[in-house]
Amino acid sequence: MLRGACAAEFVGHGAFGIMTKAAWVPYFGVLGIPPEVAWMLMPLVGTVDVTIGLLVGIVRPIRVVLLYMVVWGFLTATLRPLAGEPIWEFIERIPNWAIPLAFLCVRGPGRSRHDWLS
Amino acid sequence: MGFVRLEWLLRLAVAGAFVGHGAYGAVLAKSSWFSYFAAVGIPESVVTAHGLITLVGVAEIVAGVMSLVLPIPALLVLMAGWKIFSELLRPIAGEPAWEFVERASNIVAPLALLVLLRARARLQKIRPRAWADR
Repeated sequence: MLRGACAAEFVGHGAFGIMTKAAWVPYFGVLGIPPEVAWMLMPLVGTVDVTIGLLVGIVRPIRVVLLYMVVWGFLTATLRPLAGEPIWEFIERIPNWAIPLAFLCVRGPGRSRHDWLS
Repeated sequence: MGFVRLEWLLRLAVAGAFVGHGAYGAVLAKSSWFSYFAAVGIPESVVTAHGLITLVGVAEIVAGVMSLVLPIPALLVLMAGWKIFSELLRPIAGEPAWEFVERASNIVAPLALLVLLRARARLQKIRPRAWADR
């Protein structure tokens, strides 16, 4: 259940990047990236999201990838209020990082480098 | 992370999804919600006359706060059902299907909490001493 949610969240989010979405431009702006570069980066960011989602959903829920999902989910949710959107956008997206974190907790933290990569 | 911390993480996730979404109705009265009501055949005039956007928003906030304070299993089932229904309204209203797919975590959060609560109840029944140590 948690695995499916993590995969769908990233595939769905990534799809918007591949399709390119005007609403994303201000998020890049928060990081100092100008609109023309933002439009070029969106498909790249989207492709990474979709790849990560498919990796976790179909291939294997690797711990370090789940940790990436936690960090990325938190960062992207944080960018919204920083870009001037209401704080509720961040609050509504708590599951975006909490669910990968819960999945990571269920799998258990890695005790070695090999654990984190498996 | 033990059972208790995981439970609180999921409580926070459920509460966040509902309070955050509910605020768009109760606090901001987001106009895009009219299209979701229209998707189930409720016209804008009826929504405005009865304050349905505020009503739904407040109900979501109340449910979200309750899931944080007192996550009753029946409430969590209701919340999961509501999330599936309300998120499905997005593609029905003409938004891309990815809007639904992207929100899978919001749908799964109450279900995951429900599963955890049931597992905890079983553990408490079978091994009360082991549970007391957690």
